[in-house]
Amino acid sequence: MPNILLTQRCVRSCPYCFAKKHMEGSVQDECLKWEDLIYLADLQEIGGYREMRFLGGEPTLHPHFPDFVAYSLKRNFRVVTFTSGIMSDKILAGIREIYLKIPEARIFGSFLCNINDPKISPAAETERLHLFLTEFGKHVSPGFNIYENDFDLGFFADFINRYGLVRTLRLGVAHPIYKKDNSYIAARDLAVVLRRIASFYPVFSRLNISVGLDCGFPLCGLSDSELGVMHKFSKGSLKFRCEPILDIGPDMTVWPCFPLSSVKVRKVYDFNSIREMGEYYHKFHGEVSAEAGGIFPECDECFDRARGLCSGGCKAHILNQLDKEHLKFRKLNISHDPK
Amino acid sequence: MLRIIFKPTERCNSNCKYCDVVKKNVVKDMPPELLGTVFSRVGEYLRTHPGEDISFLWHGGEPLILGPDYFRQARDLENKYFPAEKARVHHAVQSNLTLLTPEFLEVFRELRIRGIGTSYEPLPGIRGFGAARDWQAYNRDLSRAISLMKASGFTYGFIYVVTREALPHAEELFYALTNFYGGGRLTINPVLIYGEDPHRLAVTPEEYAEFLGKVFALWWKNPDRYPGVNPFAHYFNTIIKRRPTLACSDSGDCARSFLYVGPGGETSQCGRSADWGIVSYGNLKDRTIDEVLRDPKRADFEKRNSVLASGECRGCRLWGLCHGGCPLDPFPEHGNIFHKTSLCAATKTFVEKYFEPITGHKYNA
Amino acid sequence: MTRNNWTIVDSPLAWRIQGEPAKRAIRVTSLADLREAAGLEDPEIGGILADLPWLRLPDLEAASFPAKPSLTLYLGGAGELLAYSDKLAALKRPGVSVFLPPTRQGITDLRILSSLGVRCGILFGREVPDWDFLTDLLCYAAYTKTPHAWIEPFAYVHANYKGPSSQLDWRDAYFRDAGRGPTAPEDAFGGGLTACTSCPGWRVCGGALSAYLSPEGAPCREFASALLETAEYVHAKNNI
Repeated sequence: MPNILLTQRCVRSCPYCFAKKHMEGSVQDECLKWEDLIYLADLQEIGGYREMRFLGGEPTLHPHFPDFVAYSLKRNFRVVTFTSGIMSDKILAGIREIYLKIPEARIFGSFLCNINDPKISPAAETERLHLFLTEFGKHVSPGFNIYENDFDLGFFADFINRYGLVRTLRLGVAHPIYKKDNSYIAARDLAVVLRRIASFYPVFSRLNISVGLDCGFPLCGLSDSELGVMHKFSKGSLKFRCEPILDIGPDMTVWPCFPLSSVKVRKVYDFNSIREMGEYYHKFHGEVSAEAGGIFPECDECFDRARGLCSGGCKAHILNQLDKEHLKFRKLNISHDPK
Repeated sequence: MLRIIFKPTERCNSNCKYCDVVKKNVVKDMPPELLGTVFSRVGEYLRTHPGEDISFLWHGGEPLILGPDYFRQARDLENKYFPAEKARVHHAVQSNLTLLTPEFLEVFRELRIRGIGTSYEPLPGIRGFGAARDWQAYNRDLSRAISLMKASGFTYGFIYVVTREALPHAEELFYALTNFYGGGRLTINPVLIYGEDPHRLAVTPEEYAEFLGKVFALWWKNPDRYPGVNPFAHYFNTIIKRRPTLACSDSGDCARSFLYVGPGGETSQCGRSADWGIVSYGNLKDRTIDEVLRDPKRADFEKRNSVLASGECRGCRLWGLCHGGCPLDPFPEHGNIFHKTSLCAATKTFVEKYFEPITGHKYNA
Repeated sequence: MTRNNWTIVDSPLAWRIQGEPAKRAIRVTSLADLREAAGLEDPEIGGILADLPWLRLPDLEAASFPAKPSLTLYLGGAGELLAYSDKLAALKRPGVSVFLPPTRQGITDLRILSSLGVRCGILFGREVPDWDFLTDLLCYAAYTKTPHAWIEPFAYVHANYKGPSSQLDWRDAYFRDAGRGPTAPEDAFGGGLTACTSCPGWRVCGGALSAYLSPEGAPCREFASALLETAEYVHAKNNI
């Protein structure tokens, strides 16, 4: 299922933001049109996908956000909104109006809220977030983006309990954005990050809070016992994958994921189905993997990668490395963002 | 199949600028006795040639000006002279339709007529009623008749005559004509002027080809949307499908298969040859149809193919598409039929400059 | 029969083509009249045409949706979806349809309604259409594979186009003033070469868009041509 960016507008300016780098040079005010939303809903329905995933910027800033959600729900889609939770009273009221009419079972997990460490967030943002979480907390799955090695997850214990958030914390890591200059966790530090995540296991397990790892982590660098801890921490859903996510912009361009947001950018209309879209980008992933197994030299010979237990880390890392080698780069025939 | 072009009257209620019906006959309407003679000759022919059918095209002037009773007489004469063979006679009518009424349709059904040929001119002032050529009243009556025919289950096809005035309006005319023709048959012909051209309607072969070319480009985009538009369908069938369906003027085959009968019983090769006074085969009062078909003067029409193939048209790769064109075309210029059509350049230009490049198919005899 | 400001109109010819009886409808122009007409029992009346161009869907009440066979709403716009979403079930009932003007917003609203299963249509004649947007909506109606409700006059044209011999006037899909039948084609062709008679889309329009002609040209031509193409597509698809 693709992510649909409703708008490039945002309320925050997070240092790790993938979308910000993508948005640089684009039309900030561009918002997804109704006709395009309906087109995407039709495309999903034909493909048998029943979930609409709204992203941004900040998707709730889209002028028709409440109507978009209401529309998607009326078409029997499950709606998941990736939000900062920082929204005006008017938008909050709009969301309230939608969800009051929806059975509880359809709302569970409707929001994926990326929460920044409150210690470094402006007070006004924390206040707005508090209002949102107070009202919708039980429908919110919390998330956190790791962009520095010495991150702290401790505040989530408080947040999850206080607001009744879903007790699974989605953890993403800042990857390089190919051909852009952004802050990211270096490949050599990914194992450090994983160990630090694992260090929170004793506290979180007592609170029955599990973690879900986003894409691009490599399996290696952790010992088998550390992997065991992570396995329990994730309630058995630990995966070390890098796969195309499919992000669709408000201008109906599509790219494989944010780290690769300048690569193989196409128009949604170039494809006859979501499946065809996915196959196209999976093929590209395969071509990259054929050039280099992963982010480390050892990945080429890695038995775990060969067995499908690990994808070899984030493809954006790999492309950056290949870029430096020039010769291999030419074979991939990568086309950049036409803009 | 024998094709009889039957002109029972020279009278017409319309006043068309390009009409080449030379109103020279003393007899304006064929009298009933002579009509009976014609039908008795038809009966003779049918019995002498069992298994052969006859196409009997009512032409004019305007045949409907005779009134439905005239056609009822024809119906009765069939039953009198060839009741057992009448299914082999295929009546057709070419009419401007402005006089059509339900009574006509009733007798047409009895004569086994299910479709009527007509013509249509959307441009103002070229055809119409009276000296002022009231074209709007004319076209309204024509449209009304078309509606009546459709409601009564009749089909129609029509001819469009390209005059000089049409040349700047190719695209508009194509759409107007195809909007009007209801998916039946539409034939585009160049105007044929014999003698004076007081209204300056004549078009050169090149001009006609250019007009056809512009229209063909539109037709080719959607041939299924516009079936039965000729000459395009003819060329399509002949060149691309390789199933030749050529008009009489291009078939090279009219020598023994056409017969014109005028209101006085006079016969000729076809309507044009009679109107222009080019050839006469005598009168059905005195001759049988077989005698008319065996007239020695018809041999010229047969000879023409070989004369042209070894002469003017020798080596022409498009011979199979036109066979030198209508034998009557060269008559105004040369005084005989042993030359190729004056429209040769039109065929060449249309095929080589438009049809072949646009379709990507080259004619290969 | 008239009451208050009611008038009687002829039901769309299209309804009769589909086998429905040739009934008439009451045309009302106020919410109060709509409420009253909704409660009326008259076997001669086939439905209600509520001509309320200043209203939006959120302004309607449940009482406005009669048990009668049909309710056709001529509105100025749909309004915000969230505001009328609770009326969707009533709007999707058989016999209910919503007609909106062909402005950009109106066309967007029509697409939303159609995709949600609400029968709808374009209200020509009151606003100048956004022709490009309208053609886009036409393509949606003809080519979209996901289920969606019909949009008039596209549905009428697509259902009744039978090939090159067809000659349609899609005004037959709309109400007409009582006793006023369809326009005869002889009037058009009697006028010779005009913007209408020489339009590629004539056989599916029949002059229905002639009100939009101006000395500057025929802005409806491309749209009418596209309408013919979609009609051919649907006809071919249904006759494979």
